[in-house]
Amino acid sequence: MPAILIDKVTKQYAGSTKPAVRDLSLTIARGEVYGLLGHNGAGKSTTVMMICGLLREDSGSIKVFGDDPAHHGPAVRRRVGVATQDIALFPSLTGLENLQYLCRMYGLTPDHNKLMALLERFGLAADAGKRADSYSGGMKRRLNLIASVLHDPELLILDEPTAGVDVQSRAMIIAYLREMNAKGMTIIYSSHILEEVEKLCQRVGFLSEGVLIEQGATADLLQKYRTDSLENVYLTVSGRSIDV
Amino acid sequence: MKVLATIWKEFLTLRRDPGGMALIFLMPVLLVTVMSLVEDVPFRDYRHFSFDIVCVNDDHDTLGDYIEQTLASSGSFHLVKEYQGKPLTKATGMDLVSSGHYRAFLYIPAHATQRLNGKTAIVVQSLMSGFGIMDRPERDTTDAVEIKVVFDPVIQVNVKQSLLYAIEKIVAGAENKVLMAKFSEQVKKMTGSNDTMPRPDLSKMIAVTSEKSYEGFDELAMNSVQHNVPAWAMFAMFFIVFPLAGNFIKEREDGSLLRMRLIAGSRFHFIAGKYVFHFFVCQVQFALMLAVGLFLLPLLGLPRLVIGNEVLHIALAATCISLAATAYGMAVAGAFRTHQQALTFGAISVVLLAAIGGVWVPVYVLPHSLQVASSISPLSWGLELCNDVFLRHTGFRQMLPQIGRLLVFAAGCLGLAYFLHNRQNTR
Repeated sequence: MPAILIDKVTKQYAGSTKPAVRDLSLTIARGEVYGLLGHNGAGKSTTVMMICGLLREDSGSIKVFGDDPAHHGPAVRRRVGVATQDIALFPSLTGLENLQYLCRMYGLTPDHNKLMALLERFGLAADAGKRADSYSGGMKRRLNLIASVLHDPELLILDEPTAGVDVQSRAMIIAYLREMNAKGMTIIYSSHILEEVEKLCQRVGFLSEGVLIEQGATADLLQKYRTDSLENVYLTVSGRSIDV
Repeated sequence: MKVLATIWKEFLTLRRDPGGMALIFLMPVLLVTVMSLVEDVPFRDYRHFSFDIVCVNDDHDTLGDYIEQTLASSGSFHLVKEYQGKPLTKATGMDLVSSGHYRAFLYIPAHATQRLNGKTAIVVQSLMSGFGIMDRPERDTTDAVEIKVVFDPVIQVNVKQSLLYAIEKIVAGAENKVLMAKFSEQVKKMTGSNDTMPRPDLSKMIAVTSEKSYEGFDELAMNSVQHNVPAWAMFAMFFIVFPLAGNFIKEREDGSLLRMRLIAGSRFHFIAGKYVFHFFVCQVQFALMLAVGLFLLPLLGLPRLVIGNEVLHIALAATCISLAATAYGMAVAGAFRTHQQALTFGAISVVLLAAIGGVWVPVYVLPHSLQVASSISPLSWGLELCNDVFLRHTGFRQMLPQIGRLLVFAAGCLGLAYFLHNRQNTR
């Protein structure tokens, strides 16, 4: 059973003249790192929201670990972690308090040692007692990622996890994702930094105007389009660059 | 556990926000203190208030002296008879009022007693002639004895009317006395009696008394503190819309609310935790405002707030008002997408509901149309509930209509909030 099976899904928002996602079919295997790429408004966030059961598709079907998120949203969300592009933290709480609070909201009893180990892993242990709004952009991104994996999800969806962060933070994040993938975690990775995608993702799919215009193994795509970068592949298939 | 975690999170957030703490707790305390002091004068009991009145008595006889003595002994007036060590005249007295040094001038003209006696004699003779005892008098063609009162234009209408009423009452008493004396004199002349006739006490003929419509309190009257403390407590509690909706929308904008949606089964607990926390904030605000009325305002020379003895009724009133105020904040948070929209609407709507709800001035002095409009203001229901408990000392049954309105309003707002939050989540 694949981690995600999307079959001919279309979603159009009320008041919109065209679908945000149109006739999308996509399969992501368990343990795979999949790069979901596209310009702003291409349909990536809508797809993620449907995978998590927060939006319902107009037609087609979605299965996440065999469950329909539209009908079994809570069951699906217990197995999925999402690191959104926004730093979705509580700024007046400390880094540790943020994690403790989110643990409780996941229905878990906060394990101080486990949380400190995670903070240590991301170089935040020394700043665990500082308010999140005093963190740098890179520190916030790292804390945001920790907040998404507190419940040990089987599927992790990351939207621009390294946007605006320093080299050190980026390296930590990428290293952690590799480690988690090696342990079997399925990852959907969305980023404008295509070099990262090339190194991390086994397969990539390009969304444009809500349509999956190309997908395949990273190496196969580079070979198919006779180029050495995914950016050129995207330029060729969509006729535009990935804008931030 | 999730609700408790959210309450704790909200507590930490508020505790670390000095501006928010000041807005929620300090500003209402300042507001109620300042408003109680400012509105103390219009609400003051004028029985214990001494009003300066310039008085020139050119009569120097019975009537003038009687008016002077009665005014001075009433305790409500202080007669100014001289200025800068010099006795006042009609002209200087007028000048003192027209220049704004004093607010009122009373002038008793020369020969007022003499002229009153002459007029009274004619009245008595006229009465006697009706019984054929005396000859019919000639027609009185003289003008009335004119006691002149001049007011500074800036004087308040109600003060002016109170002053005029007091003077007219004193003059009417003087007329009665002179009339009775003259009548007695005529009867003695006719009967040849040397006995002093008993003087009937006319003031005992009709007595107007006031009775309390409540039991348990003595000398209780609406005053600045009694109006302002519950009124501004209502205002502060409904102003919870400001931090509550602001905080809610900020969390929606920065993605925190999305994270809650992504955590299975946490959204309801998150919203419930926010509601419960802000409900307790309202309760603390209410208690704080009562403490201001009970302990702080008396130190500033204002009357002590009377809250009655029914602690359970007070707690019930505070609970219902807090439930309604917090639910209103939740509905506003759900209705608007941006911080600015919610805060602008929230602030203006609370000010409007306060205005028609009798927060600034009691509802009974509002124009009729606004009195009708006040019946839709939850602040008016809350204020009436406080008056029921504090002043009227009513029982639970009498509190039920206001409690019912507040609870229905709270339920309606929560229902609306639930619908609006859901609509935003599933669009």
